[in-house]
Amino acid sequence: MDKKKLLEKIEREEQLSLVEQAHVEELLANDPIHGRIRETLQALPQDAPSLEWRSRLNERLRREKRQPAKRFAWSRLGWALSAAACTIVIATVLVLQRIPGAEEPQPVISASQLMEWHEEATGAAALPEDGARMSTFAIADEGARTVNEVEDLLYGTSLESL
Amino acid sequence: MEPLEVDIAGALNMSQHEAGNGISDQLLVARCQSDDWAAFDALVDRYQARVFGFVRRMVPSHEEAEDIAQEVFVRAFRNIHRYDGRASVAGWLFKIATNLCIDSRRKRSRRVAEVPLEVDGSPVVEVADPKGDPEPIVFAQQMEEVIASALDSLSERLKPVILLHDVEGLSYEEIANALGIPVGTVKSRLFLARERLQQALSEYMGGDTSHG
Repeated sequence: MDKKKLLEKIEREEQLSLVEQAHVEELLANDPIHGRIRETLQALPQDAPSLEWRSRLNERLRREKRQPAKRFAWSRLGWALSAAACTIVIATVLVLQRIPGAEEPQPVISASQLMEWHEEATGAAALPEDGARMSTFAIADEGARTVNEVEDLLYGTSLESL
Repeated sequence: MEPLEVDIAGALNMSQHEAGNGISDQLLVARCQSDDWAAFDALVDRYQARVFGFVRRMVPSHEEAEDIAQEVFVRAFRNIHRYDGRASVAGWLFKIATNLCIDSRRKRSRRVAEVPLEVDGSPVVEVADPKGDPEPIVFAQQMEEVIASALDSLSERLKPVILLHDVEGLSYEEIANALGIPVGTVKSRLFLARERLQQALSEYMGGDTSHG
């Protein structure tokens, strides 16, 4: 197998055939040069972190240990504030509803009802003293007729006819 | 995510001194998930040298390696409740370490050129020359520098694979899990990385580059 082509293929991250994969596995496991590379790397001395490094890490971890409790306290405080705000809003609404005249619901008045009230008010204001010429409203007509009947009874003739 | 299901009955009253002695990684993690932070100290004791050594070979400076290694354990601490036991603890820590190293490398914006493919030619990587000093200790130190230089020449795709397999002893599956790549890709990258190192070190190892 052409090793150069195989390496170029791996370099390009192309899919290897089953034969190529088997060849790679064989070299990884049994090739003496690969074994020597591995031994060389395993023999490298290991750098160890200093005590000062560990001390700094312990300090950072100590701070991290405290943070979850803080977060928990803040979240509890948030819930408590939210609950208090809701209680205040509900209490305010209830108190406002119990104050007389405060935000009482107004009845819905239609335009025709308004017109009727207007005409009645206008009619009452324009009621003549003698009750005559009340042709606009039925109740005024009744009143006028009653007056005429009395005049007829007293004088034998209506004042209107004079 | 559910905490790791490990029987921890009777194991929660662990003192700082006995933490980690002969206890499996999984049990230590289970104790951490029960907020027994002495167990986390035991995990740090167990892995700090390996993690720091790995990071030190992944980044160029000692100071940067110290910072990243600290960050590895701080992140592990923050996310210990999310560890589900599917990967080994070592694989999980090395996964965090690898990601931080790659992020750091990208931030530095230092483009590390890979060794051009010259299988049948002379090595292209320029490394320190260990010849000239017969003292074994000095030679060993220089040889270490040569190997470090050769490792530095590898790309961020190849370097973690060969370090995790050949130095840290992780299995193909653990590396695949840590790096998020298929097992077949782990093997092919390991193969390519070793070939590159072999090219760079052949002058000092007396290896034959024409095999295969």
